[in-house]
Amino acid sequence: MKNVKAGKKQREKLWGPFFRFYTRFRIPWHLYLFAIALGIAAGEITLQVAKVMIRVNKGELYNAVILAYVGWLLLQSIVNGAAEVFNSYATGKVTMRSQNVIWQKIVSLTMRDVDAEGASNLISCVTNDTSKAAVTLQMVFSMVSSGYTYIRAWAILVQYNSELSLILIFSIPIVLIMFFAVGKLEFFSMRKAYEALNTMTSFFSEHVACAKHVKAQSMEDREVEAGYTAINSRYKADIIVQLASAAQVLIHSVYVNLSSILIAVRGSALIRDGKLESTGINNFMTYTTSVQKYQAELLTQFQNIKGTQGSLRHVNAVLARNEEALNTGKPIEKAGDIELKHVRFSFDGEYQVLQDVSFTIPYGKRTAIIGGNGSGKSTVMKLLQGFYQPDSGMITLGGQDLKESKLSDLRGMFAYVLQNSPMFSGTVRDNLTYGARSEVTEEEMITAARLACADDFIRALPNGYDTEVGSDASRLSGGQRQRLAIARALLVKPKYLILDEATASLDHQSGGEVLKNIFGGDEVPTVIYISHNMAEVLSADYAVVMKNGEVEATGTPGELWKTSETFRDYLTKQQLEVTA
Amino acid sequence: MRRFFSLLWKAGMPWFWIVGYIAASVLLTNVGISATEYTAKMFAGNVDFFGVIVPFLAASIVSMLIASVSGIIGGFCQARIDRNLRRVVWKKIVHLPFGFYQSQQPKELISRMTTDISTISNLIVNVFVSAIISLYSVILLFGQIGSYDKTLMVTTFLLLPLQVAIGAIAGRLKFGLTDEVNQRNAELTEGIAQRTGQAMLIKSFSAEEKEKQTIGERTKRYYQAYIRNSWVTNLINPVYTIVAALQFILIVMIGRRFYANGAISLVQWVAFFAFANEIITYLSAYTGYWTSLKTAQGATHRVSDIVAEKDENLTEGREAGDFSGDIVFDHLDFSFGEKPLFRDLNLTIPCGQATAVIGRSGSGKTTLLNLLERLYDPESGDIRIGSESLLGLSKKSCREKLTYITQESIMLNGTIRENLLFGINRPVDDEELDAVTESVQIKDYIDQLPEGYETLVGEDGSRFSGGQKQKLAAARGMLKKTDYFLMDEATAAMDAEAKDAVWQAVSTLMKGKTTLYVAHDRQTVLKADYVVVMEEGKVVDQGPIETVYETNAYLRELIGEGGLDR
Repeated sequence: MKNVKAGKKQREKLWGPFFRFYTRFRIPWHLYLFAIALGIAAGEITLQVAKVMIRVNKGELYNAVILAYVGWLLLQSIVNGAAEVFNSYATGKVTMRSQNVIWQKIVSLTMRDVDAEGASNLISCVTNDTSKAAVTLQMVFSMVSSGYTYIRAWAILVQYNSELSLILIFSIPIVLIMFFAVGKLEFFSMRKAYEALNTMTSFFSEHVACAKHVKAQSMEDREVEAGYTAINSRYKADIIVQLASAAQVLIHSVYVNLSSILIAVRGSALIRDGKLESTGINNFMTYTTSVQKYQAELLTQFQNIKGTQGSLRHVNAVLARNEEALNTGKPIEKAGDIELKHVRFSFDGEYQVLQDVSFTIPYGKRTAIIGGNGSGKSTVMKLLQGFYQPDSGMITLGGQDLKESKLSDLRGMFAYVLQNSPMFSGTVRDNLTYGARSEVTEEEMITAARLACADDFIRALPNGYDTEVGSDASRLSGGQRQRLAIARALLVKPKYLILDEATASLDHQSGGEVLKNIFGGDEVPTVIYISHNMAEVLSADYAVVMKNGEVEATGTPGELWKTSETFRDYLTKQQLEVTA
Repeated sequence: MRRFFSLLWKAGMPWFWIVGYIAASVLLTNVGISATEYTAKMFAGNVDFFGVIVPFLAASIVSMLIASVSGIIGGFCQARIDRNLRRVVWKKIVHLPFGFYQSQQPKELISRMTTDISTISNLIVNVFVSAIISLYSVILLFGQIGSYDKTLMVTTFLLLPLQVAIGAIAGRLKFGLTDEVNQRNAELTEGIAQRTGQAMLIKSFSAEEKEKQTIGERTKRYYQAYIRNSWVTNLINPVYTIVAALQFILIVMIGRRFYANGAISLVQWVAFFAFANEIITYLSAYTGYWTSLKTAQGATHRVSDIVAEKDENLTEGREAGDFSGDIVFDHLDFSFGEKPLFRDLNLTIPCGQATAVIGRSGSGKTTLLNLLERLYDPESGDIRIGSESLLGLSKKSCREKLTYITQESIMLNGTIRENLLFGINRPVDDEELDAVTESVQIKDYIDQLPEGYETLVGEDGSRFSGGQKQKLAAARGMLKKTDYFLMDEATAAMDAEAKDAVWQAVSTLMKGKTTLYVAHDRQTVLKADYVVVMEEGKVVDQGPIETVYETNAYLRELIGEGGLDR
């Protein structure tokens, strides 16, 4: 009993998600119905072609026979072509719709779910898995028309000679057993090949980026060797795949030959006994070819459907993950102080990044956050914008609990500049206006670029603001990229601006200038910035010192000079002091 | 084309297997012809058990076995060609000069190694070799038809021109469209790959709706290309059929005349009909070959290009001894492509001291270190350490004598220990590891990891923050123990305390030896004895830090109010 249940569960795991996936978007039923109807028609035509073919093989080379043969062939190709066009439309539509369903899901996932899934694993969800999903659906529908013609062909065979047909029918179980055995083998070998391909690809993707490092350490020889190992593991997997596919070809031809042998042996005996006309083998084998053709079609279709279960399972797992509710919750009426109260947080449930953190970020002021590498500064910034929720404790903005607040309102108030800010491929202009909440005028864009000390170098680019930055903005230096990121954040006109070591890769002159520009602008947002540069920290109204996931001290720089040992230490290390 | 063959030559082709594959395929065609003849006899009603049925069985079984064997050999051929090509290209990639990586997208090299090479091996086995085999089969089939009747054979030649014409037209039509589908698909994949990694950025700009649209549009463009392609494919099919029908009529008209006047028997007619159809199949394969060849052109060009690049010769030149003395850049010229960076640069870095190179972004600081590390060759001029010119030394030995901690603290996937010991060619015990990690303040963090030094660092060192990666890179540099130490913003992401600790450790290690570093923060610059100020590829000031502080406004501004008190 227990076993039966487990088996059922297993089955549910394979087939359940499979069908569930197709309820997530509209399926173009009418296109598939047309395709099935045309497929059945094409099958009927194929049988007619076989009929004429037999006459040709008998040497009945009359004009009428030839014309009939040619006519049927033409009709067959037209009907087949039409069926294919319908299929393409259906497949194209299903691909596009499922791509959009999954992509929309991915964009809405919570950060925790993105982390758990691994960003690079999500790519294949949209690209490979969806096209498989569409092919599978097509296979399911094609099975209907293939199945119909298969049965029709059998009927003709049985009608022609039931004794010979019986022999063929008995061979079916053998075919099925062999088919499933080969299917298992193929599944195994394909998985091996897939893994080996993955290992090799990730090896290369990691190592080509490290050229400078490898050269600086003179490790070329070892690098070549490591590459050879990766290549060899792929080679071995390839060989296994080749053996498996050869086995498959062999088994298929065993079956095909088995039936011709059976027909030859038995049919020749029947002819000798006078129970079959002398050219009977010709007739019978021609129809058998049709039967075999459709049988092979059905089996491949089934195998294809099975083969995509894995990718659909992955897609379904992603679709089952949590989405961020952007538009529910209480609207945030007005900006105000941000308060953290006894906040605890861990990314993996084990290592406590934040342990009981409480402090206030005053509205309209400049707050600096300092602390050692790994003390939890950046994590706090991620919690403020609702990328993650605290495990316990509470964060309020203007007195309102973030947990109950409308996420889109919250994010709309912030702009965030990271240490290594990514750019998308597109022009400088596209990147600067990314996320801007209202129409941006040329003037506004240039002002923002000036504030971020970016206008000069942008103008020096070949096409100014319309220069393509290339993927990952590789045509720009780190400092230039960073200045673009700051300008981009300013264009959003945030109420709160977060700078997470945003000026670290700028030279000291531009770094200082950018901050000065931001602080001295017309509508100064509340700025929260993380920095190791204590000269920058001293220009803050208020500072928070973090240490090992806790708050060591808070206050004005003047107060901290007296109360915080770390603060004093950092200043002294940079030969600075608070005099006022 | 010549470069393509030279690529194949360098990679080495598995000739033994290729010849075996051809031999097996040739055998298969021959057996196939006898099988077809016995089938023809059966179809015509000749069911003599020993004369027809048994030979038919034998031919079927033999051809089945040979087919499997030839399939396996063909597969082996392809796998071996894949492997050989990958080895050659990978070796080349590792040995490419550094400049190559600057001008090309390194990520692009991945698809050179994976898909492009598969395309090439497929081209060789399934196009070049198959074309030879098909040609042989066609000739053999013609010969067989000729054995029935010479005139029949000659008349069958009429099939050829029709096939060639239609193949050329269809191939041309389809080629552009397949390419477009691939192009659109690549755009979609690139867009998605770029965005999945930037979830936080998208969220922070509330750009979810915008991104849904962007990708939605790309899926639509892909769909449109796909549909266009499908129309063309399916419209071509009836054309193919018409051609096939014409061919059929031709075959029957030819065959009928010979059959009617008794030149060939019924058995021969059936066999002829089967052979003629086979010939058509082989000939249509040539259309496919041509299309594959065209489609593979991009891949062959790209891979041949890489292999034709010049290698960086690591071992050419004398072996470097231990360096001693000042570092001298002597009348140095260097440019990136068209854009000159250094023109007649003269600079001496004093030995036995710590020298800081400062200047705005783009002034050439990093390039100076890269030239010293011999990642680039200068256009003219000389680089010396003491009296030894680096340009006459082998790059490999030169790099072994210098420690260079780069701006990007690169981690390779592996354990912390493997990363710390990468490029260290001497045994290092745990005690020494502990000492060095302690001195850069990362030991406590490593100790609290469940597996200590054996912990995996994750893809690109994802387990560590930027500051922690820099600490590990510094520790690795210190283990190398050379007399010259180069650092490029190597402590920029560290907190003030760690920065001090690392500098303490470096100055102890390098006491009396030479340290040359690029920095732009006050705390780090103050560790220098000697300062070089650069501006747009020129040295504008240099000297002991106290002197330069007096003369150079840029340094004064960088140091700020605190002054030179240390």
